[in-house]
Amino acid sequence: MSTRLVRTSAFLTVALAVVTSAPARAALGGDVASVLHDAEALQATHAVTPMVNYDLHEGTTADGLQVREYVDRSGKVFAVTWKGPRSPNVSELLGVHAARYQAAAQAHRSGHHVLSINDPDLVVTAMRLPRGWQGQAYLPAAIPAGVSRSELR
Amino acid sequence: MSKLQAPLRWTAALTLVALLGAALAACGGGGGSSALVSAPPTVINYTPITVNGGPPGVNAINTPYITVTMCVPGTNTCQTIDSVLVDTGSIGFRVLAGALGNGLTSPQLPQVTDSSGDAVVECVQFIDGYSWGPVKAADIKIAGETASNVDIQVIGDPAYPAATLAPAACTSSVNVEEDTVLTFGANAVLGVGNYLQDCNPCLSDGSSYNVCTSSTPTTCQPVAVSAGLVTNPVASFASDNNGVVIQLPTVSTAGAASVSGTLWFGIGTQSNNGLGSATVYQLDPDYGTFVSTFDGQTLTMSFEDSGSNANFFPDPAITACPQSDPFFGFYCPASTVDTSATIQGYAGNSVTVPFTVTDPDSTLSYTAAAAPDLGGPESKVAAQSFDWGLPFFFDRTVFIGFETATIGGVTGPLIAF
Repeated sequence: MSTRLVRTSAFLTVALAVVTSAPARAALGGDVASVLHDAEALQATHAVTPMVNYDLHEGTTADGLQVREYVDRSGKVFAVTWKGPRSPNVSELLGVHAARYQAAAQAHRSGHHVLSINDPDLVVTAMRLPRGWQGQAYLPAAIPAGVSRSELR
Repeated sequence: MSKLQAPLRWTAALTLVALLGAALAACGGGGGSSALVSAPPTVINYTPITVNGGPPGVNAINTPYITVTMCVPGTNTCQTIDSVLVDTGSIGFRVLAGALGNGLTSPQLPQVTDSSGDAVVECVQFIDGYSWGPVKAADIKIAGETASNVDIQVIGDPAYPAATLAPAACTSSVNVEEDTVLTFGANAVLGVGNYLQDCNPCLSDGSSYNVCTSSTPTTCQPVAVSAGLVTNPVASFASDNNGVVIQLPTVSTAGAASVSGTLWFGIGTQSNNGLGSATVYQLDPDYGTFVSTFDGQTLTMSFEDSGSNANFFPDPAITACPQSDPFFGFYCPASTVDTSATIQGYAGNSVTVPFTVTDPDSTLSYTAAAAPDLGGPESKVAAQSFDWGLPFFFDRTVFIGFETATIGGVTGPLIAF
């Protein structure tokens, strides 16, 4: 599996320009520019691995937070996963779906450590571990054909 | 407020429970049984746990509480606080400002400051929101144990309102403030998980520790700390400081309005808190997790958490309660599910743990605060965790060994049961 580093200064300049012009874009359901926005916001390293049916964007911050964004061939993010010593900004990662997470957070009464959304069009599980955080979010209808859901880790 | 009366009644009840807890232990309840016929503990190292729904209006399910005395360091200016959540999934003592004022106020507690005298104020993020408030020094007293002059957090202190002071890095991820007794579900939380600090490393972007100016208008900015200031209070006890033991009784599937158990401090430090026949499971030192296998899934980031009020695990074959249901967020199976999962420690040893999930709407009594068969869903696809919540603790004695401890020849962090 080849890994291609895209963190070049020229590329980042382009990404920043895009971010400036479209700051509201975010990850899940967003496009490639939003992935770069996230990498920038996280001050993360950013690697892209071309998979057979999608591109896997992986960022790791200096403090160890790993965020993976799964981008289909049309450039849309259909899944996001995270794992690390702290929480990512969930609202940014979930993009246009953030409001549903906020609503679920306000409604839920099952403790401070697990939050799940299991809707037909949106699936989210966020966990606060004894030390560290992890979570997954994806859009079931947007998963490209041929992608095993067990890949979304 | 009715707080003055309720704690008085509870104090009497809790004293009875304490005696009962000691008697149970003396009769060989759980892992602390081996040497109980010998001398009594030199320091009283146990306190009663109640699972009773919590503070008025909270109606918490499967939430274990104890009573803690909190004092201005080195003084007799104290307040006894009931409905303190015993949380093995977090670290540190945090009291809701709304629970103070019956003997102790937040302004009476010394403010922790940085070198220039600015107040340290902490943000704590959860998956469902955040808490915000100043870091103060206090003596924390439970049973015969004291954590002297330790850093604690006062959540929701009106002197530092989150609405105007909490930075975006704290609030923007999940913008739900949990700074009142009702939203938090407890008067305070005693975080006694496997670690010594509440974060290590801690972020310096505002989502963790901040400093706020004493001049007006108050402004806050992130501060870098090498490790969390708010620490596991049990680790600061003079003795019995290497872990905790939680024992809860058997509860019928219909649940119970109130059940009583015991929290011991220390593992193998006195005659009443030995491992006995319990097996030790080492945890992943980075995440405090173990591996659970369930239904063909290997869930590598699994954990126990007394602050989770159900067993949360991925099984799409079990019906989740609909949004209109009072138990939305939990499983509502059509028929009783008797199943099991494994727990495998970091060193590789494993055990099969049976558990049951029933429909809370049809099986639980209306007044139930303890519900041993409560389950809750995770998304099956890509799930990595089995969260063994309070149901795991019923009918069991669970040992929580801290990261710096060596217990039964095993280095922490660890659990045993």
